[in-house]
Amino acid sequence: MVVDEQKLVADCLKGKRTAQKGLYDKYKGLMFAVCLRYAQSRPEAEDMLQEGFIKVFRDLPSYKPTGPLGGWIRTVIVHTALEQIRKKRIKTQSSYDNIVPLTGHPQETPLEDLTAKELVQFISSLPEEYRLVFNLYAIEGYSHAEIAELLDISVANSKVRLSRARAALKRTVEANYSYRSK
Amino acid sequence: MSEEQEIDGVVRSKLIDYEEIPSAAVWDGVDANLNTGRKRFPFFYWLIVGVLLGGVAVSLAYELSEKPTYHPRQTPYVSNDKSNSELNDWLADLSTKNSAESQPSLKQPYMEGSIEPEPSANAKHVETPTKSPSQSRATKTDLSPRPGVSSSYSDSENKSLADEGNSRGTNPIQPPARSASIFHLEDPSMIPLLSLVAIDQDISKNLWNRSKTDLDLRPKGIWYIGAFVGYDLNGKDAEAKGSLPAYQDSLLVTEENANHFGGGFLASYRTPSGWRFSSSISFGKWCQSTAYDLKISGQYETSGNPTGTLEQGVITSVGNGNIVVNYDELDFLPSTALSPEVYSLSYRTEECYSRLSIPLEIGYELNFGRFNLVPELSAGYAYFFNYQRSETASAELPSLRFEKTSDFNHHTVYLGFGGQVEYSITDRWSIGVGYTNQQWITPLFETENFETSPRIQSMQAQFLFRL
Repeated sequence: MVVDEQKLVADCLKGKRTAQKGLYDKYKGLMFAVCLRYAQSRPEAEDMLQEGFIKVFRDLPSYKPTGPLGGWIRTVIVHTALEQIRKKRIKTQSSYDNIVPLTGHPQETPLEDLTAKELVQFISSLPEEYRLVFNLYAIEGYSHAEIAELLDISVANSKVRLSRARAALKRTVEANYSYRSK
Repeated sequence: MSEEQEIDGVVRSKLIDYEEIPSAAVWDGVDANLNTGRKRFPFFYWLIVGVLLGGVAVSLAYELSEKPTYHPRQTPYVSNDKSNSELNDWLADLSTKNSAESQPSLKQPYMEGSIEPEPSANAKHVETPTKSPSQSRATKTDLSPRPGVSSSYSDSENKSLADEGNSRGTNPIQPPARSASIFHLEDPSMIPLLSLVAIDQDISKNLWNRSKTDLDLRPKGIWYIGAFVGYDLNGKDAEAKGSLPAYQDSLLVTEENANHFGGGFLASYRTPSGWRFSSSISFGKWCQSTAYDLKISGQYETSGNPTGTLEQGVITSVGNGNIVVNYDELDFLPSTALSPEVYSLSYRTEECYSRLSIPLEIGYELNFGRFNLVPELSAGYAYFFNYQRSETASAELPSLRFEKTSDFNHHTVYLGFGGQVEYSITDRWSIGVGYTNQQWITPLFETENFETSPRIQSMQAQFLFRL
């Protein structure tokens, strides 16, 4: 952790408002993008971000400066997002249950052509159970065992959801891409 | 690389550092939540402002309430010539009419006893044939100067009053052409003069008796009220001076960044001989950081549960390279920092609490012109509450951070000394700066091997208002 960040954390621990605002400003953009991937809408993502940063400041005394601060904050935000989703969980019967595994060549996927913002929109449009597993595995780097524990599902279920999430994402992107190309 | 991995890689590379700016409302929500823990601080600042404004308001209200309500036309009149019954009758009649018609109670406080002119057999009462309102009013206001009669009113006033009476067609009262003194007894400057002029009359004695209560012609006590704000000069001397007896050389306790800011009201009484008795009530917030640096070596044992996460323990004995830690007692050292791998420990505490203090002080006022020097001794009661303690420890083990909040309500009694220098801005207002050094009789923390002997040195700025 850089010295400035150490001082920022120390000042936050002392309750200095400017330091808290500084910490928020430093990570708000990155963490909001995380929240957007987990939420279905922008207001929901903002709720997650707000709740997440409240927890960040509340739990900051327990932060051990052995790892990067950004990683720790991201973990808190992700866990907060999952908690928020769990609270307001709406059982969505997926229409992607019969999605077949991916086939074809990687270069055929238009993912490379998408902007990050578009990609986030596609991911947030995925059904919740796929979206969560995909985010946790593909982007955050959690293992299936960790995801299974976090979401209270089996490891096998996690793998199935991930596979279906990829297929759903690809199908959605391709549909949109072909529509856009016309 | 499989297609799945390819998708994951593409998505991760695009999104891992992607940022999007949230609306400002998010921070507002976070800040509002964080502010709930900071609301105590503004309270003390508002308290200080309130103390100052309250003191000023009380003082101003008192000063304004002292404005004279005397009306010249209602002043009773006396003569310095008791032998002149005609003049006295005229004055008595005039005073009686004025008192009866406009302010009946005014005569009693000022004209009691021998001041009251005695009824005279040859008194000439001025009466008008009819009791019409205009005539009655003319009689009351008819104070045209008479030959040989001196008045405390100015000539212009007399003239205007006479003109007013004449213009209404009434006959002015015609007292005998003798000397008389008309004055207002509330005017302190008149008292010595009257004492000389009316030296041969009982009136002088009565006036002098009244002056004992109205005027500060004799030494008497003085009351002061005031308000103050203060700041503790705690530094390294105020708090937590202690050590572990068996390891004095290894434990260094240092106070850092202590500060206490507060304010309050005071009341003081100064005796005629210059002794001053004071009391006050003050509220304040005290925050302090303390560093404990412990260096140990050798083997040692622990009792209790050394794997307890954030329990606290106290070193109860040290000998032959062994340190015994009792985790059942609470003290300032976190147990996790005392594992066998630790050879040095740096431990910091951040403490804050609120303090209510009520001292009683006795001092002696030394006067040097507009300056007063008042050395004082004090004894007081203090109540500590709303205690919060944050602790951070670091050792050779991985760094450890934790926060602990405790309830801490503590009463103590203290003795102290100090003094203040005051400067009189006006007859009633004065400002001053003071210093106090308080030594608490009962310590703030006390364990078997470690106790504190807190001492507070503080500076105050104050203003006083003489009642």
